[in-house]
Amino acid sequence: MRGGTLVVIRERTFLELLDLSLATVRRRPVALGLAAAAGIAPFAALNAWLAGFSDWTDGWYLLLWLFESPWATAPLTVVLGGMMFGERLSARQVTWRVVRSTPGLFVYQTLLRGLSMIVGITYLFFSARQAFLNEVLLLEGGSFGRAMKRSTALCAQRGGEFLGQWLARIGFGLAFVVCFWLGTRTLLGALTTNTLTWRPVDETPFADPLIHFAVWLAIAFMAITRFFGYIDQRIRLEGWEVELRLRAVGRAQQGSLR
Amino acid sequence: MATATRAAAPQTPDIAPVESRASEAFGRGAIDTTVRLTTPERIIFEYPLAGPFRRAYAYILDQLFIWAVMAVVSIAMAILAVGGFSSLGPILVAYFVMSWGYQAFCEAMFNGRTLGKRAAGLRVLSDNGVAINASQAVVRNVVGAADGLLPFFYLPGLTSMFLTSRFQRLGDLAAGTIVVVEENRSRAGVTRIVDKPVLDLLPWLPMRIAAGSDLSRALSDYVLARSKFGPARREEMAEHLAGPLRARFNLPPRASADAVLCAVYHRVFLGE
Repeated sequence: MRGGTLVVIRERTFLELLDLSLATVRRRPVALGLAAAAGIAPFAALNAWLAGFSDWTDGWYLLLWLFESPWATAPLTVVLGGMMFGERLSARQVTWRVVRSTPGLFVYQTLLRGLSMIVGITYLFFSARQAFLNEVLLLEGGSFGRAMKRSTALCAQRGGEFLGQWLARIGFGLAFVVCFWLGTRTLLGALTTNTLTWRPVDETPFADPLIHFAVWLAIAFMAITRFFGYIDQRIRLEGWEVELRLRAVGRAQQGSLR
Repeated sequence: MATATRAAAPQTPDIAPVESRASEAFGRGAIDTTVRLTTPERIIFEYPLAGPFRRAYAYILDQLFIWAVMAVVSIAMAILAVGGFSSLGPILVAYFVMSWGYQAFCEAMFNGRTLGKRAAGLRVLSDNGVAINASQAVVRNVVGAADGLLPFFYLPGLTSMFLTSRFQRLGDLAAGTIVVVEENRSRAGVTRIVDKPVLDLLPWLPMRIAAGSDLSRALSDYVLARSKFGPARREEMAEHLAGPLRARFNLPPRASADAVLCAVYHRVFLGE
């Protein structure tokens, strides 16, 4: 394991990981913003196009976001994976890594996830036992069939905890979307009119682009949190924190012997 | 967990320089949610900062407490007023006092802690590391009203915490305060290792080894975690420190890295 990591290597709680994600976005806004935008833009455009059809209902958005989020956050995950160990990836390298993982993403994140959704309750299996499937597929490479086994091994013993974290991410994401949407509407209203009053909520809130912006922002942020969750789990399972501590103390002891 | 060191304190010749180098080498330049504070007495504390997500937990607990008190007050007033509208006034006064005064009062009286913060392990401190005073508690909560639900649905507070390196909302910036995490990390007891390779190495070591905090923590962390890893991984991890320890104590070069660390751990923590 090399030195010079993006974040300090230590075990963290879930809430710490969320705060760490915020600190990381603050420190690397351009690279992360561009990576997120590159992944999200095609899907946002697709959704806007689909919404133009006459038989469109807003409920489809939820389904689409569920299926699109692993794909839309793939470039962001790849960029984070590079950043984590001080690797600066070019746009071509990021694209290649996403393209290379496309078959796996399609089979696991679209087909299998879709099948599990039909049954309903089995969808929770993905959140509990396959929490880091995207990270495994995009960052670890390896054989196509090995991904699920590896992802299951990563989630072993903490499946229930990861299910809770998935639910908490959804809760925080929803709270953020509501606050961002209502707060921004109020702010825009205050800036463009003479009074600080709340505008009535439209009958179809999904027609407001602000809500889409907030949802994609939340999806991208939660992808960063999930990435750090994956790193945290590897720190725990592979003993990175202990090893780095031993290495640092060993180096210091070596220095004192000279 | 806060760690404290004295700035520019005279260094003891053997241990202190080694420790300081080890601490610096661990995670240099990498992002973390910790803050280093130097008190007026020039004591340096390192605290984990509480960002919006940890603070949200404490905030929700405080709101639940306020609503629980309000429920009790409302029921009591309704009984006293025999269901009449005359209870409405005292109820609104009680709500005003609770919503504006509860947090400021608790933070001023209980050293930067409300009930929610206490449950979440958080504490409000001045940005120079000392305890907050009553005026700071009042200012951060009065100005902090702008960070809250109305009128902009927490957006000013969230934006401010996102933009400031110490996760400070507007109320914190006005009062010169930060919110830190006070974790009481439970320490496992001392482990006795009775593996033969470890016992064979003990006679090679002095009866007592004075280890600084970095070395002690590294040994302790390794010994407590080693059961999770296979023999090959243990050797790989332990070799980083075992090499210098073999040289320092003239241990046999063929002694396994795992056994070296366990033996030194034994001497540091158990003596004998």
